[in-house]
Amino acid sequence: MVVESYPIAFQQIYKFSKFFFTEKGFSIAVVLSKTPYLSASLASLGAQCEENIFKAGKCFLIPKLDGTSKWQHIVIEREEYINGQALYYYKFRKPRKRNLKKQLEISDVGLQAKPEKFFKDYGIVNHYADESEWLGKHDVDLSSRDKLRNKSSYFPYIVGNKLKFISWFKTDLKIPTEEGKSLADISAINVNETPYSDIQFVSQYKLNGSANPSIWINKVPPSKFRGKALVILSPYLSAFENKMIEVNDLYHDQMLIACNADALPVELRCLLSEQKCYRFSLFSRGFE
Amino acid sequence: MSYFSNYKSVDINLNRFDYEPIRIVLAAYQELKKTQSTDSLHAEINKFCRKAINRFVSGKKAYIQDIEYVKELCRKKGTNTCRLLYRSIDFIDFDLVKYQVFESFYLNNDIEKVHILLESNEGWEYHEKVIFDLGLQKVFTPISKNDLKNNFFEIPILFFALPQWLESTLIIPPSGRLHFIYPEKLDYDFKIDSHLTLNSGKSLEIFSLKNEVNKKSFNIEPIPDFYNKFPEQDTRERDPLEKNEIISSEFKRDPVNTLNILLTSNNHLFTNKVYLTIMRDNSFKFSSFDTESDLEDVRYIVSSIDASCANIQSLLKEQTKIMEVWKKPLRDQGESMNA
Repeated sequence: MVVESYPIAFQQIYKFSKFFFTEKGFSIAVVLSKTPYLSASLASLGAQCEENIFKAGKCFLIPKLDGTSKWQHIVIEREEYINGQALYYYKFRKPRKRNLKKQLEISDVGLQAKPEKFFKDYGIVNHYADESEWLGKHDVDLSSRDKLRNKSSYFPYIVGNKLKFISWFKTDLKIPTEEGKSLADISAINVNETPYSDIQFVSQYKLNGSANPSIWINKVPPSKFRGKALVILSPYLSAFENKMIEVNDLYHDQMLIACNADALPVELRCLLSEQKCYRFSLFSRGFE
Repeated sequence: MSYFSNYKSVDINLNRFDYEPIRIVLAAYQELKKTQSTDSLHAEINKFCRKAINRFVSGKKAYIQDIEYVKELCRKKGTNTCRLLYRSIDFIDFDLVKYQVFESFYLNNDIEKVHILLESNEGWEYHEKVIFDLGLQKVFTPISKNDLKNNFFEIPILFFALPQWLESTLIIPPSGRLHFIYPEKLDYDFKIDSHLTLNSGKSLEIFSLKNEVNKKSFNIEPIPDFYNKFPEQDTRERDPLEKNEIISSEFKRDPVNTLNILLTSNNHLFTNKVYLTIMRDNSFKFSSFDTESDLEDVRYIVSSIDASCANIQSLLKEQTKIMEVWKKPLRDQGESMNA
């Protein structure tokens, strides 16, 4: 996707988000947008980052290869090279006997190895999964119609209305050069309601204190929030005044420092000043 | 229509028209207002007077029954101010000025095309005839509130409204050029500041938005009948400008954020309102509704507060007021159950 070929307002939010999530110095950004869900979709694409999927602790779904369409949950344990070929050992849950009550006894976990190519061709990595929970999950039945691919991309968590986000992600952008295309078409990112969606949604209450980067739509993080968050608010919100007060509280409670245009690279600064589709604020935490 | 803006700057054009009858009505309104706290009839007159003025400013035909009601009350009261109001309220009808307003607006502005924001389809039927009669059907096209919500327009947008009614819209304007038409007497020095500011007023935004505000004025002549009722033009002289601000802040309404959810066949929820609700877990909560999904967990909607133009203090005050009314019977009930 060549970002420069899209409207300025498209580029602005995309590049601002990319800058905010890759630069270490900033912790909170607030964007006022008329179309908060579309902006959040663009911001999540901008914040997309590549991550090595072959790391110890990475959670995958792989086909069971037993003639069924079942997929099992596995966790990468270690890497080994045989004849210059990478081989990965993974943990999986052995079928249990009924009388065994505990979910995850040591003897329950098996260890196997498969070549890198297998994971690349068939595996589905879940960057957001927690290893301790992943192995205990039941096998899943994935129909062949589901477009499954391995992805190395990692996106911030989305805090907001899941269905609205998905529908905006799949809405025709009405850009003349990309007639009839939505963000999902342009980016080939898979967004849906299942746990295997490329972009993950999370409740605002679960993110408290977490260090995961996140994008908040029409919601403001609580003052104890310590992570990195891009907050997108619509001025059309009925509780907009309240939201602004919450942002102000956050600013005071966390002793945030507001950045001005000098904090931005020249190129981004020029881009952002070119049009007034959004209102941007950028904050760093003082003592860290 | 596009989801992405393409304007580099924003022009806000205020087309203010001078209309004799509204001067008289507003003067009378102010006069009655001084005593309305002690005089319930004055309060009632002012309430309906305000309604009529709001419709006029919104570019709508007056409700005849409201006008007649004001006249009836004025007749009962019979003071000088009421007599003045009795004679002049008839002229607070957009029907009487619409031809002139559209024509003057067109002649005073260099425009090829403009969208008119409308609240309903009937609104368009109301304006359409005028526009057609003036031969301006290629210039004016309607757009609805829903269009305005997510979209940006290349063509200027015309509002029959006071600019301060649309403060939330002006934070991120839907078009690079906006036109407002309203009576000059209700002019008000509004400001669109940065919305993320410290208590000290310091902006927290990376860039500040500079809007250019252009003011234009033109005259709208009342119908001849008006001069029959007010032959001597003595009303023009005294015109206390400093009072305008107080008065115009009373005429409030945000026409953009209303009406989205159909609750039952004859009951609407407004998105710009805060409702006192009882939740599934029997707790009280103040909720606002954006979509149907916001109705989950709500068991009962008690009451509504119009938050469209309330500031945070007045909102809280209103909330406590309603809370108190509802708490007491519940408390009493709780006590009798415990007893």
